Amino acid sequence: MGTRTLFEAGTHRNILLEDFGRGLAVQANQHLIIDGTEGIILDPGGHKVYGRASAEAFSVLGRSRLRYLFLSHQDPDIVAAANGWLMTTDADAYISALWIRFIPHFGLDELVTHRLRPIPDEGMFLKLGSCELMVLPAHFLHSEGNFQIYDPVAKILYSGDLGASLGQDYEDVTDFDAHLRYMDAFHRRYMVSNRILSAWVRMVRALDIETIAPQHGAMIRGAGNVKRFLDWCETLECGIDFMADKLALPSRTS
Amino acid sequence: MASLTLFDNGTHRNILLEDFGHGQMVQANQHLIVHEGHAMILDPGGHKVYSKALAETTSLLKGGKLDMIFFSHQDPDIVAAANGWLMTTDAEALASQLWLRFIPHFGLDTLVASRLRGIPDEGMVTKLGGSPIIIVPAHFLHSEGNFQVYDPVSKILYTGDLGASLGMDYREVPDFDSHLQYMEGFHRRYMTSKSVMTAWAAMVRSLDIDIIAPQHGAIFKGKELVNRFINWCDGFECGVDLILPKYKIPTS
Repeated sequence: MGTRTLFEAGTHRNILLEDFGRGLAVQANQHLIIDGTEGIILDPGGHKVYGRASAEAFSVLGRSRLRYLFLSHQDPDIVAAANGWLMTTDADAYISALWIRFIPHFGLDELVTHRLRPIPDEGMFLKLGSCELMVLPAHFLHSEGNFQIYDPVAKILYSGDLGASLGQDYEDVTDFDAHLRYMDAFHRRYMVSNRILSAWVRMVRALDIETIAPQHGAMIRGAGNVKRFLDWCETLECGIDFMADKLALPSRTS
Repeated sequence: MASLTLFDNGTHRNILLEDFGHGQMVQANQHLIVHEGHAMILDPGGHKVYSKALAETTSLLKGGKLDMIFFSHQDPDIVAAANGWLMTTDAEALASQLWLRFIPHFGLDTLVASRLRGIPDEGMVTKLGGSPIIIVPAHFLHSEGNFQVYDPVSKILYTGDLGASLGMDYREVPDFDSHLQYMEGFHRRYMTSKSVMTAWAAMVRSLDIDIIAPQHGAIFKGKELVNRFINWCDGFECGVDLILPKYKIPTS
């Protein structure tokens, strides 16, 4: 276990807590952004990584305070340990307004439920130290209530499940074409539709992005690779584009 | 806490474990199907209802055995207590193959992970004590990997989040039109698209359904209400049909 610095300038740092995945659970990246005395952790993960992820996060934070937890959506790999993080810090947890009443099913302590805060469908800004992070709407990619974080200082777009890859053994994509085999099937089945993907591409083309950092797998770095990824998303058919006319009663017996 | 019997013919029972919801949580229904001492629980819920739901289930089974745990999809209100259910029973858990590697993030014990089985996208027909149970594909309603259960003996279609309602104080829908206010907002935002809603309606019209039982809120009992609900879904605009105006860089 270790950490990797993706960006550092002055008191602004972007740190990847490296691969805590093991066993049957899908590999997941945890990201920290620190500006001055304040930090945010993105998608801090489930029970199995909580102990190690929190120890590493507090070590990286040093004397800075964890001000926010960002939960991109409601999946188990994202929110299962929300209670632990809220009980051991005084951070506020931000998640789509759609999931506010679902997260307490994990057994969120009543002492901390008031620190679970809703993100409106339109997105918002989060002030961190002396910078402002952009919380971008990315609904239906894949979750119905889903957000991404853009850090304008580091020019990193934290894209959650979009751009996720599984099965490769590298952390940075160097050859986009060779990388497609690790992303393609996941995106075709879990992402909802081409209409949504192309709307997302139109929105993020206005941003100056140097790195796309998904929650699973390798990062897409450099203007060339970022552009390749956006172009790929723009034309990808997925989800209901294939599924809508295929719902049928099963005939197979288990 | 109590239970409501939806169907009972002596050898086959369908029981709703009543509202364990409280506090900040969304209300959720837990359903049991029992056939000749073999039981299946649908969407057994999270940590806060686990011990009460388990006690109630054990009492209702009267010495019968829990064979199957069905998870319609991956949301917290559905799967957070999966480990508890698997550790205290010998049951097999069924969930969409899309979520098999996500559920272990709840801290599934390695002893029980082998009893979590994937449902293929096409759905499947399984048996409960010899009685067929049809696992019906309902992807994107709302979850990408989502299933419903049809029980041909009781003619109940368990629809998960589809048909869910929030905020009313009755358990059976008395009047479809006045019930719409409790379900419309949820369906417009969480369900994925008109194309999927329409495909679902076309698929289930071939089933003989007496009751539609969602995971939240009131049930639709009787063919008239069932048909009203299916007609309402057919052509319903939602989700991606309406979300595109939100795809903008935030301004405040």
